[in-house]
Amino acid sequence: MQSTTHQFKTKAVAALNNEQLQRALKRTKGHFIDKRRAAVDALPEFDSLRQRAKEIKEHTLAHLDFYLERFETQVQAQGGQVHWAQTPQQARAQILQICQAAQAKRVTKGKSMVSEEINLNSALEAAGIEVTETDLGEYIIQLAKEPPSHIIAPAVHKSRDEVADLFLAHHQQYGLTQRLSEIPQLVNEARQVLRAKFLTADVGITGANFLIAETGSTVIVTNEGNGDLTNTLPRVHIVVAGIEKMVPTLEEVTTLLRILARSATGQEITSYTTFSTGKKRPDDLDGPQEFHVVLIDNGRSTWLGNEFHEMLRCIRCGACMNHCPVYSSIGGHAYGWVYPGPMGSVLTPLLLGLSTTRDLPNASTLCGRCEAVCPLLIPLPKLLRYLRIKEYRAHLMPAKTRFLLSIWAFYAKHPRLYHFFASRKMRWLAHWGRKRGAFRYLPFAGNWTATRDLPAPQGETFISQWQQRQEHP
Amino acid sequence: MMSTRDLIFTQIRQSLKRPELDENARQQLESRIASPPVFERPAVGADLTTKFFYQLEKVVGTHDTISTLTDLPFAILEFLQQHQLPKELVVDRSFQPLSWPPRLSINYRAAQANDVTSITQAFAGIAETGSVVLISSPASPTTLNFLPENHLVVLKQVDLVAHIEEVWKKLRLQAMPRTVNFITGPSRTADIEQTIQLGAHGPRRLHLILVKK
Repeated sequence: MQSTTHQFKTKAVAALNNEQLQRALKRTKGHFIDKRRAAVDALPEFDSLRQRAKEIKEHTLAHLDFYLERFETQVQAQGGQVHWAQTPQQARAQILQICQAAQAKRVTKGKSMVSEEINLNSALEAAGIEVTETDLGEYIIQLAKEPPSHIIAPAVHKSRDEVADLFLAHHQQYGLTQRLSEIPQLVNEARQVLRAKFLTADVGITGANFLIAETGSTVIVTNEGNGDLTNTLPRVHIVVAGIEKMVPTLEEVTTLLRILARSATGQEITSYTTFSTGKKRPDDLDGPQEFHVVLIDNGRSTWLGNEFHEMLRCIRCGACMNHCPVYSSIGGHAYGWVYPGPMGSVLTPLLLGLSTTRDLPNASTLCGRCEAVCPLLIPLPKLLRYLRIKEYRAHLMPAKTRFLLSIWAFYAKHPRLYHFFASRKMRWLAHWGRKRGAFRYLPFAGNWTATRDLPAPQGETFISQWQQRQEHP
Repeated sequence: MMSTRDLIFTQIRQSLKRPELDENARQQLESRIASPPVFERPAVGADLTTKFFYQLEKVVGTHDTISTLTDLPFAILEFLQQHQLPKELVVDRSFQPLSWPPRLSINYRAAQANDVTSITQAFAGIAETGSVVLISSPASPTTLNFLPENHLVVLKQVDLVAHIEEVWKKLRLQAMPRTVNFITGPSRTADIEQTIQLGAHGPRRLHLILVKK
């Protein structure tokens, strides 16, 4: 998937003016938040489980080489193969090779964000392979030729009418020519079309929510059952996963599962949690004859040793974006790539480099709601600040911003001067604004006041008011 | 030249600022795997069955209770009649010894595209979540759990456990199957306008039959 992150500002403005999108965002907003809240409230152990989850991930990351090797050995013992990819190119080449060796014409896929990260679909399609996304949300956006706008609900920005139009346009080839309008009808039609794909696919590709070193299992968590039809019906099952998905044991995965679904959709557990271990056993009546796991690094092993290593704890639940005031105002597409919201504003610059993605870490008020809900206690605001520091050091911000920031920094480092000018400014503003109590326009801040008023200060700075109180309690 | 695999491992160790773990450290991690840490678990209460049914109902699963396995064919017939379903079943081979009435057509095989109803045997039931655990085996192909629109799962009372961790203990007594499925209610999606719709790709109905003895 091509990144359009460099157009973030334009796209964010367009998103704010897109009525259809704003309706969709309003529809979703409370939904995820309320359901998560209810699920968390019903589990008094939730906060201690978050701490445990963090410990599990930190332990695993500190011994990642050991657990990856152990996982590999276990997969091989069950007749599977493990492939290693440092770059998206290598991963695409390996997966394509497996498909071609299996003479695959048709591939079905379960939802996998890492497969979007490595731009897998277009590589397979370029080789003449038909690729069908089978998660309903992913299928809808595949038809619309759009990237996911949310990591767990990829088509959250689409209305039922838009889905109806897409199905009408794309399902005529299967003889389905009636435009449907109700959600159950739409789901049924997708079921019917995709069922035929499942039954005729040569290769099934899924992601993994977790990899288990103890058993060599890969875990997927779904509600639709598409992941299971994908990993059971075709002759070949390929799992693509980042190396950070590793967890030592079944017990520890259990702890992570207890917080994953609650954080994501407010469910206690999803409809299907599936542990796949190797290929079909000799006497089994179904299951794939080949089982491949493609492990993708793509820079993750370098983050392990730097200030961004906490991002490797992320289990992709989407809670941070559900609670982000920026995400819920502009939606996922403005972010321009695979991962939106706060986690995306950290991951995208790490994966694609800051030069084209520098707007993302700045598109945050650092309000801290993402950190407050993150089940793995990832300090997302801190990581966004680290990215801003990197941006400054690399001289990536516009000269004007840099210049004004250096003036502000000078005063910030000289508190007496800062206070002197700040108290004068407060008094002037209080004087000029005393009639309306607010400013409709301010010079040098036209963009800001174009959409809102600035309340006029009351005349004294906080510091001087504080001093007066100390003196005259 | 170093392989990609070696390059990744070299980078990991460089980032962790240490060489490959020595034998002693590896042994410690192995023993950690052998006795894994168990953390806080949701309260379940003393009455597992009540909790299990409560959780199952929350996810729109249905259930029935019979006293012995010999009653199973009748419970199944009743379900088929209630939903006006054809009297054709794909069945877990472990139920072969039961005496099935001749008006039921019974098939012991993997599920196929046109199968409407399947009967499987749960490896375990979990009160904590209302889930049933199904494991793949020659008798119980995984397709039975996903292709038919109606999935009937038979759970013996002794196999009902409080928490997920107990499933792992039981599973470690045998070889790891290709697939372990935790199934919690019927298939569902909320991908169109956040509206929950059952039967996205898997079964539209999940019916549990608890066998007391």
